[in-house]
Amino acid sequence: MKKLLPVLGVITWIVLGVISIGSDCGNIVGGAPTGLAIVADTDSTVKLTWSAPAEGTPDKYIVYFKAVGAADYEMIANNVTTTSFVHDPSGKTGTYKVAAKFGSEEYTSPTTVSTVPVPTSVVTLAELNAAGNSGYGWSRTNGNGATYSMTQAANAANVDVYLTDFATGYAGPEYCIASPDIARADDPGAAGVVPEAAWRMNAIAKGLTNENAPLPAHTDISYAQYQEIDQTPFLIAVYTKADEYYALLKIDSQNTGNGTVQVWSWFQLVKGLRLIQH
Amino acid sequence: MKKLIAACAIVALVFMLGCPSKKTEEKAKPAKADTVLTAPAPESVAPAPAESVKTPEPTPQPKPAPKPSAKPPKVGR
Repeated sequence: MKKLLPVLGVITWIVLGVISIGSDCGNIVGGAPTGLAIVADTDSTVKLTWSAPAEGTPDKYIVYFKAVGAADYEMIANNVTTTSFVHDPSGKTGTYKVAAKFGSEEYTSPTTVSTVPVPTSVVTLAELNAAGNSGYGWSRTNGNGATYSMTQAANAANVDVYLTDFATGYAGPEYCIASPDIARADDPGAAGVVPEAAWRMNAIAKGLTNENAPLPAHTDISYAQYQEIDQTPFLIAVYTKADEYYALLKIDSQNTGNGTVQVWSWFQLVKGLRLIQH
Repeated sequence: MKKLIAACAIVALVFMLGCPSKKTEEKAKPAKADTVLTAPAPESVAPAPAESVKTPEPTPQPKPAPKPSAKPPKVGR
């Protein structure tokens, strides 16, 4: 019996050790939320959605937001128990991330989502009858803007607006930004220039005074099929009617001598969201 | 007695292996105050009205014909 006691002691301690490994010494195993996504909840608020961690349901989720120009993330919700959250950023744009909280441990989503509009640096846009591309449009995939020729039907799927003086030649004196769908029917300068195609039908608004303020809601009466460039720099809101995106155009350096203007843009990749702070 | 000491050593080893240090992921950062960026609204400066100077022109030069405006009526959309 005396010889058996040490052996029994060893077995007891080994069993206790195995139990200890199985319980991870009291630590909670957790994981990060996945599949973080963002959509417009209204035209000025956003809805974040995500999936629960594969490791299990956390005690709660924490939502963070880093506004344009801010140095760091701020906590905007710290007790979310569902897998979605609606945020009213009060006109600000920024980047979001979500963390799952298991006990005292926090696991942050591996990806972020953003409402910061995609900028496109300055390009030259030509009047419809001048040398150069007169069409301008944005990629729905990455938000980048580019110029396109209005003389090719294949570009109809890429052009959101074009530059015209609604006359033959490019002498102006007043240039306009117009929706491409009106070119063939309403623009004398388009005769023999713009081929028949499914040109996009978009809405354009002017009168913006702050390029970082939310764009006018499309329901406003201010949107029309074209707008005159009557000041510089000139700010224009564009609403793409078929797929409901908002974008901001800034136009400067109108030159009726060579028929060109300089164009900058910011495209909001969150469909239906009119926030444009950049 | 030697067996008992050996058994204790094994138990200690098992505990060391059973309690691995846990790497925590990114910690929460303290909330910071919002910063709001607002660009100043560009002011439009109205030009001073030019005074008309009456100077007789014996032979007024014909001005070039203004380009006919063919802008379509603006409609909301």
